[in-house]
Amino acid sequence: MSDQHLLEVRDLVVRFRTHDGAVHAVNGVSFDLAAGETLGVAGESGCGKSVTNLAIVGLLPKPAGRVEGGSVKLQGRELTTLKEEELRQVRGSEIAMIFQDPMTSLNPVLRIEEQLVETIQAHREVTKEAARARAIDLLAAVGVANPESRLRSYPHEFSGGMRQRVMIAMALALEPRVLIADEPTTALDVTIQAQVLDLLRRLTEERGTATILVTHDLGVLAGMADRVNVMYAGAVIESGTTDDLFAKPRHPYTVGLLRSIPRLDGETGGKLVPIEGRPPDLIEAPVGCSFYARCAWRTDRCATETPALAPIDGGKGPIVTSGPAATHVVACFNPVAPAEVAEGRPLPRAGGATQ
Amino acid sequence: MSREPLLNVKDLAVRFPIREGLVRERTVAEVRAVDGVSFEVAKGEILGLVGESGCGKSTVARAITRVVKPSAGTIDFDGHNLATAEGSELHDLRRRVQMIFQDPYASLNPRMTVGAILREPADIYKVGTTAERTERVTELLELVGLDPRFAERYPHEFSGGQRQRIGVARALALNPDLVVADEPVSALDVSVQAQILNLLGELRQRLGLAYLFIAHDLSVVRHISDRTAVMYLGKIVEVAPSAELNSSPVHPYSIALLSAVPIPDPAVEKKRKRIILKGDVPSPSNPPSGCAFQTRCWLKEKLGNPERCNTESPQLVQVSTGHQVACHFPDKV
Amino acid sequence: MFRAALVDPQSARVSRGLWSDAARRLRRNRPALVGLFCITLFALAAILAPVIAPFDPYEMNGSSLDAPSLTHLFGTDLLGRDIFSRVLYGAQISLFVGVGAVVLALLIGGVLGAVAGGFGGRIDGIIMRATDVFLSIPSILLAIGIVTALGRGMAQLMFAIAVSYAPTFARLLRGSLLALREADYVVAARTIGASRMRILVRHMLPNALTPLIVQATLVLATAIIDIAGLGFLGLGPADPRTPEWGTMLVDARRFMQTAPHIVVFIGGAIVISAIGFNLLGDGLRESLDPKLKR
Repeated sequence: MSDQHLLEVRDLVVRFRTHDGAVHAVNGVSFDLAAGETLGVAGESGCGKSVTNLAIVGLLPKPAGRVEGGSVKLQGRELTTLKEEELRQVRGSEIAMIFQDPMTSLNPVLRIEEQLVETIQAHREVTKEAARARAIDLLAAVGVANPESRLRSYPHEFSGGMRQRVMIAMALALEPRVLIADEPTTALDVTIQAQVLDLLRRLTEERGTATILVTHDLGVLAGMADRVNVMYAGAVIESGTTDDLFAKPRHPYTVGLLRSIPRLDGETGGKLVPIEGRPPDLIEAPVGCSFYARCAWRTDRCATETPALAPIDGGKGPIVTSGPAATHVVACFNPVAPAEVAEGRPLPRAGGATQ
Repeated sequence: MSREPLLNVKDLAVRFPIREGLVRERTVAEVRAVDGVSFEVAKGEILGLVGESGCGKSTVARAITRVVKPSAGTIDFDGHNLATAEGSELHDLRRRVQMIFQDPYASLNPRMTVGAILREPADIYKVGTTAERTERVTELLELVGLDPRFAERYPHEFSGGQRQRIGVARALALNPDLVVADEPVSALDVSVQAQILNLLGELRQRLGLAYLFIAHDLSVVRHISDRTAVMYLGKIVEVAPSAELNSSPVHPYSIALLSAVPIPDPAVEKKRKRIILKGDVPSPSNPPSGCAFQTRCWLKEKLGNPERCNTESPQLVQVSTGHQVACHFPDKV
Repeated sequence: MFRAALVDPQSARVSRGLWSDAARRLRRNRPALVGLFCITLFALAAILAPVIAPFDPYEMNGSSLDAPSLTHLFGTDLLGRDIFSRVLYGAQISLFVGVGAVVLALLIGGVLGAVAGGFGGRIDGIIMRATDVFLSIPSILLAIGIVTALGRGMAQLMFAIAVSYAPTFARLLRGSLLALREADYVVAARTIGASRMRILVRHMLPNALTPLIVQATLVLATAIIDIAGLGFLGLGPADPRTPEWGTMLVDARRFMQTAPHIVVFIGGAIVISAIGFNLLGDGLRESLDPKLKR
């Protein structure tokens, strides 16, 4: 792990103060991101996937949300202790973000031109003309027809899909090293989603931008991500290359997620295997495995001890934390056996400890 | 499954006028939300209705439940025309057609207890005695897999999935024949989605319900429905048994739509060919001439832009048993 | 029953109603608690005035313009009346007239707003144009006009303030009702065959009351200031000896140089009660809105 990664997140802890007490939103998340790779983050609402990203770029809602531990290093530079001023320079020029609703990031009373040109000029010493020419190039690159005249439009004059394209143009304006895309296509229709994902894939590949793609849609991750982190209750519970994770999921939650969604190429009718119950209340500090209450594979040990991420087969060789040869790690004392994946529930095993 | 028709929708149209003028309002244009839609739902059948936002699928739901009044067409429900029914006829028909909503946080009155929400239908139709109505609440809660003691609680005390179960229970309170489910799982997390889909499947088996199941998620619709209808810009462009629609779609829009749905399997995703449509859906207040899909149609382009697509609106025609498509060139795909 | 009831350990906690839930959140809101403390002080002063006031507020109990002392906590005024006792009785008048005016405004505005928002159409147009006219006149001017027309007196004062705030409530309630018309649970009520009246009374009004309650609390603060303002302009209670805060300020103002404490004590009473209602109103807004819940 001494190899320097583009982005290194270590033991990140985020708490939210509310009237009901502190919400344990992120409980020790660690991961690495190498240049040019796309890391997918999967998980259901409230699992901490968005909060982790907001914490990375210092955009947690204040004063309720706070980073209470851990570190975030971008090319070796610690971000969690930066001043607001310095963070603002990092955002945009080094890390850019795209959100689900582009309207929250676009100023409704300014023309696209003003917003794009301003963004470019705020970070780069270029003339207004040069910035404008760059803006036109960007809009053309994201597939906006007649970019020169569209530059004069206001955000509301674009359709949802077009707005998201403009957002991508803004995000990529400064050639950031890292792009964080938080549910970028969730609000869009499938055919528009296909357009936007296609665009995103092409642009990040061309520019070698490392991407963190957050989505609840496992289908999107299967087509876009090189690696996937699965999050549950504020922690990464399984991580590996996309191929490994989808072909050989080992955490009961990952298996549950995969088994609970109907597939277009699956069988019609029949029953899905839902995950019963619901995620834990993050007000209480987690004791034991956070998935314990909903888990069919649980053992007595799971109630009291919290499993840490560990390699699947007992840890032969060094753990690789990024790239195409990343080690498949899972935080589970009793991982799902390959034969059980199709069933979605535990099978009797010799000397097995399942309940 | 019995093929006895329960619901027969013919040439349904819903148009919303756009009014202007400060003193005297006049209609300057209209949005053709639903523009001549015909379909049938048999007793005990699940018909899926898919399409992207703005295609009019939710307006179809609202017309059938008579939240909006259709502008034209008939909605034959067991011998009654729901499109024109008024007064006590409509009141009696409402009992038999119920609705499940998309957002479980918005569809339950926050100031009423779950018990009050579930007994209200019986109160309105004066079904049974007070004791029987209370008994019915318990029965309904158990039917949807909730603890009957929850009756005294308020909606905000429940999770999204639990609230959606309450919404389902309310729809079942009057023993309807048809349930119109408008995006019933799209606001839920995937693991909870499966719970609700399974519940809806079980209830249909047990109670012999028919559903009009509306969703934008093709995987979900395909999983639950017997037949699927695809809507585009206020019209149905293709209807087929769900498995057949998936394996051999005919309409160029259905083909593009199906190819755009991500499949959670990297091995499959790498091999798939996507048809990426150009541009956006045209506005329903100013639909294109001829075929509604002609502005984005890849097949039209491939065939060298035949004039017929620009001038003539294609009608639904049968391509095989139970498989209808509205395209001038169904054999060119 | 074909499926075992879902046992959900997290829902096993005791059920809480919406109101007790709101109360619980209000208890954790510090500014609202300060507001509540101010209001309690104000209300206790008003209710217990006959018990705790050391002197008769109408009678001369000391020499003119005494400085504050143990006998006369706030000193005495020009006529030798005990200012502390007069401030206590003044609270009574402000509370009585203020609450009365707001309740009356709520009644008038509530009915108008419910009719306009619940039924819509032509009647809505008429009511809303009328409220527009009223809202285009500054409320204090409207109140001055009404008191001048009806003559001075507590009832007139109450009525004048009520009329000037009723349009605000009408418009607020109508707005909430209009927004609720398209709410899913209202549509749901229509699909189960509920009548218009039932939908209005059971589904729309209870959900439109929250902003009205908040607004009423905030208006109470303004009403107390308005009462004092009218009193200051000589439009207070008919009897000039009445210990109304605004009326008392007129006298006190003359001795601002020599006995500034009088203005400070009376002004302080007005400020504390107005701030109290403002803070509570803001706290209520936060704690009554179920959507702000986590």
